[in-house]
Amino acid sequence: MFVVECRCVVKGFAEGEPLISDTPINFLTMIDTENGEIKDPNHNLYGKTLKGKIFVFPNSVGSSVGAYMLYSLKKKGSGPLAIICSNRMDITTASGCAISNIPAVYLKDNNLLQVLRNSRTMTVDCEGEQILIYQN
Amino acid sequence: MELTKSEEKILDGSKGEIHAAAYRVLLAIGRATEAEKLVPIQWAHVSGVNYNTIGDVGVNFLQEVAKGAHFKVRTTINPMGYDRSKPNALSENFLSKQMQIVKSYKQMGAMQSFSCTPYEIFRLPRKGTSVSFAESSAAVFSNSFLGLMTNKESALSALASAVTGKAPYSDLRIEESRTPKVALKSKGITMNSETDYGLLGYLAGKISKDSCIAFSDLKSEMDMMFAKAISSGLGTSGSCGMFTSGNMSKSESIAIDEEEMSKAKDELNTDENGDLILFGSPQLGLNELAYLHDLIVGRKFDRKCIIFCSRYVHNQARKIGLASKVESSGAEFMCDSCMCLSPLITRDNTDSIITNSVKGAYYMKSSNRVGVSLKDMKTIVKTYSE
Repeated sequence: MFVVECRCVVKGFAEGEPLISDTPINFLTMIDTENGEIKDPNHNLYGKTLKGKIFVFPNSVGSSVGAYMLYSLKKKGSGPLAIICSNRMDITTASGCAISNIPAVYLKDNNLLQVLRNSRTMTVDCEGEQILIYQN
Repeated sequence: MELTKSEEKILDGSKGEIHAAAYRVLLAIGRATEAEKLVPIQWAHVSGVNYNTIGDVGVNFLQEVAKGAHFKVRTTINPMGYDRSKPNALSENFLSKQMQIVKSYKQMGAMQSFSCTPYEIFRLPRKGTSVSFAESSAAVFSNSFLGLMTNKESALSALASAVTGKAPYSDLRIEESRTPKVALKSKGITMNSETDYGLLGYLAGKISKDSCIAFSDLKSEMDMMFAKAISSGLGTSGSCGMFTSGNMSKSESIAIDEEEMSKAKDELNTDENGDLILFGSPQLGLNELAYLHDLIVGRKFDRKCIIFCSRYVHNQARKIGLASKVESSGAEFMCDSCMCLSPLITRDNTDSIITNSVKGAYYMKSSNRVGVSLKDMKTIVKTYSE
């Protein structure tokens, strides 16, 4: 088991599988809020869903309305268990998670993303500002 | 982030659930941007007005917020889904849901601006004033050209600031953070039109990981049309909320070339031609209308052309006779709304559109799912009018 340090933005606790995006997310244009699927055909996670996953991405970009998309995902039961921003926690993601009570953290060092990649399951402990990584 | 005792009380529910939720949002964005405290803001500009973007979840949410809160500072709002003064073919459901959103914002005390360019409409506060602007193009424009201080806010963070009159003292609200660490060199790239400026902004947004970037080869004095184009391009692709122009000797430099510019263009420019011409993302101002008039005078568009602008700008243009002159080219005005995520343009009724806006091209392609022909205004007029 590895421990990765993080900073807490929205408190909470989540355990599950990660879904890792290497590129930034525009929540308004790239995510289907009905089922949590990545609907942008140019995205390398096209067709995958963030529903019930710990969604890891560098930061969100573009539309300020993206915050409502996080809230819609949550309301429709298609939201992620938690969010980890690997580059920086932007305001769209932070505010969307705060209103939706989705635990949200960002990595202290974005090189730590490599460690997250090797994990099947992980626990995000926002209060303790740590991510616990289990390899199997 | 430290809250004062009275802020703590509101967070704990002393003023009800809506105010507590607003402080939860401020606390989260304060932590995200490593703020030490909250500061007062003078103006909030809120996005999340178009039913086509926020849907039923947004309608119900705003209805609840309106029951428990009233805006504390001057609050303007982004475009909605259609022009209130024109007939349209939208469903009863769309119209009534859209009206419910408008009603909620009005109930909370928002000005009925329906504009993504509030800086062209309302009296501007003096330089250095803290504001909270959600519309990404308006945030970038106001930081970069007007000396206002805002982070690149979200629909919900600007709403929280409108309700509380406060925002975190962090990032672009602190003078020292407004110096870019990375400068983009664009030497050798032809910068002739608003579309070139939009593309440069779009490319910079993809490259930058910070909240401020420098364009070392641009002059700080810039045509208003170019300024709006580069701001909206930057806001569309990135998380950057500001840029500076001119030589920043201390910065790290990244050089970009024509090839990268044409790659960015190829991403957005999917079609050679289109059935419908769209101008106004961001909504056109008077000077852009005057420029369009100079290009089109004595000519007629050979296909439908819609101009999106705020009702305020439209009324001004009407008063000085500019609106009717532009209309004699066959173009029509659409107020209160914006081409981005307009419910009026869908794959069912349009194969592809023609626009000069990089932001418009991005949203038309990725959200409205129609083809896009991206050309500057001069070329559009030359090609599609006689």
